Amino acid sequence: MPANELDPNKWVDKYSDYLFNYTIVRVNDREVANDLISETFLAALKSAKYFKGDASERTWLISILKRKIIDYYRKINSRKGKAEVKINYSDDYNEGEWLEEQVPDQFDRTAEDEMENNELGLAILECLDSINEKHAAIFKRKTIDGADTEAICNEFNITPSNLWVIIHRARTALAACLEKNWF
Amino acid sequence: MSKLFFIDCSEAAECCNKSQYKEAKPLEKMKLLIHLTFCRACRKFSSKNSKLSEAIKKSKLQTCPEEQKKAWREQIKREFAEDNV
Repeated sequence: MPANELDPNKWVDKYSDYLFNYTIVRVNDREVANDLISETFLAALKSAKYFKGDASERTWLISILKRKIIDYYRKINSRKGKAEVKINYSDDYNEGEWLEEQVPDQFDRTAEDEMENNELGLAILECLDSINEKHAAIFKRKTIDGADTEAICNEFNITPSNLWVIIHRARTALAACLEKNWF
Repeated sequence: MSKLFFIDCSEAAECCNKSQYKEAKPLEKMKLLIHLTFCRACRKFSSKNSKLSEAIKKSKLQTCPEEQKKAWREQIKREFAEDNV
């Protein structure tokens, strides 16, 4: 029996937030992100029979999604009339002259920071996988969506003191998991 | 008097969690602060808890809206059923 098996009916509940957060920083458009994720699910279903079970379901879905994101950029690039201009600064002819321009700007780390924070977010979602599914859902509603305590209590039919116990367990587990895998 | 201001660790943890979501009442916050002055374990918990809140904030995580999830679920169900006919 392979180490990992596919269970497509659980994909949305288990991975959609993960896939979405992965995509949104890369394409920066909600609608495009949603479309790419739809395409990813479809492509995954079509090639499910080739899944060997070596990787986890999540890793496998992400590998398909990566291709979809690359394809998306290829498509919009070719739509621009292939006006790709290449500037080669560092040929022998003007060596030295442009070096100053090529020095990385230490104060402009926003892109790297954003990617790093996104990876942190993905690590958080991955850690949430290891806790009880319902507790993870409640934690997400409270912490990520910022929903009201009362609204969540009604939604999940629990009391506020139940909620705080669940939040406590989730936070403790999450802190321990992040400590191990991130910080 | 002591009942009013002194709380145990589990109560302190609850106040600490509530304050991560800005839902601790002023009195609860005060009790927590008093507890923290003499409880090292809770100080440690409290600092980890704040660190976690900061990490979550920094990560700018978003969730997909429920309608979108529903659409995907149905899409998968449909395709999955077709493939297995």
